[in-house]
Amino acid sequence: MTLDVYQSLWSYLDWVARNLFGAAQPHLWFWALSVVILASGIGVVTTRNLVHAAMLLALCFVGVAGIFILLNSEFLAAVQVLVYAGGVVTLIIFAIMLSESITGRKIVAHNRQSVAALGVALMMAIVMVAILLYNQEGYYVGPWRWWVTPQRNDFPAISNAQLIGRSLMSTYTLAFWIASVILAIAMIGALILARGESDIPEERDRPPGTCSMRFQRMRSSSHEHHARGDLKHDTAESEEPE
Amino acid sequence: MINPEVPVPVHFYILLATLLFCIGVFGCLARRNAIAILMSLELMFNACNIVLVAFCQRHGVTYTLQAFSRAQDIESPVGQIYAIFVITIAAAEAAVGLALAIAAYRHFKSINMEDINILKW
Repeated sequence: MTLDVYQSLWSYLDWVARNLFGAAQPHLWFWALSVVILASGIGVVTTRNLVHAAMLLALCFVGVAGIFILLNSEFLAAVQVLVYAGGVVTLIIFAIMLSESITGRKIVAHNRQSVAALGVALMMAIVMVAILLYNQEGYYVGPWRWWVTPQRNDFPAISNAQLIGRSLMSTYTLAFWIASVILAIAMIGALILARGESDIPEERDRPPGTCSMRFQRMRSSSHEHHARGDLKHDTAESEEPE
Repeated sequence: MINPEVPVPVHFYILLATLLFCIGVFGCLARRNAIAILMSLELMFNACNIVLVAFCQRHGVTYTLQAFSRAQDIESPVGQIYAIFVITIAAAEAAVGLALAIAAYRHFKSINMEDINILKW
């Protein structure tokens, strides 16, 4: 491949796109993803700003999802992006925002990088449209055929997600149930741990081992009712051991 | 130099996972912030997932499956299933760990790990 074949910039870009997106380039993708993963991992453990660390962590997770795609595990890559880059990083950012003043300064919600953000979004749009314009073999299919389903006759009879679903529902059913129970327990435990103190001021200095003040007030008021004899029909049912 | 027909050998994946795991260990030991330590833990989980999937894809069992009147050679998905369980446990761990961090922040007014030392012998 010599460059003088390509007369224009567009044909050179065409060659690059065909060799990047079309033909199998596992080594190129592996090295690129390794650099991204290790650099963002080092950034996670060294940067001072926790919000930047969380963003680099999301980048690292997306790189690991690319490694999973290289290893023919598409379903796992999707789970990685959804659960890690979508869920865990969001959770971490919420925790950072809830415990502000960690980094010593207030976290600003708006910054002056909207131009750079627009540029990044435009680049992503260009890459995605380029992926749509080229088929699996790297040939240009044109902008008018993007809605056509790609025709492949070597389509696998059973996909990766089907395989994992069958295994989870047959061989590993018990582990699947245990994992769901663990998730439920973790959710309840996290709720109880993060719930914290009550908003009612008198609840804060309630001595430990006693019930809630509101419940005590409710009970004592019903005692008053009993003493005054307002609720005659209740006294027969609940005997008060004096 | 590099033949694109040959897949990436499994040693490279192991090396990548080792480096990522060591980065996570460094973060766990060196960071003071509880949330930063949790993030380093997530890095180590990811390194473990890479090793699980890579070993299963390269050295796992390959068997023939008859599906829809076609025979297909498929690799065993055990490594991916283990990785899915690791992801599940990591999500639960992240939820509980961050709730603990928030509770500790509310109690100690700091999530610096050097301030949380009331259980230290």
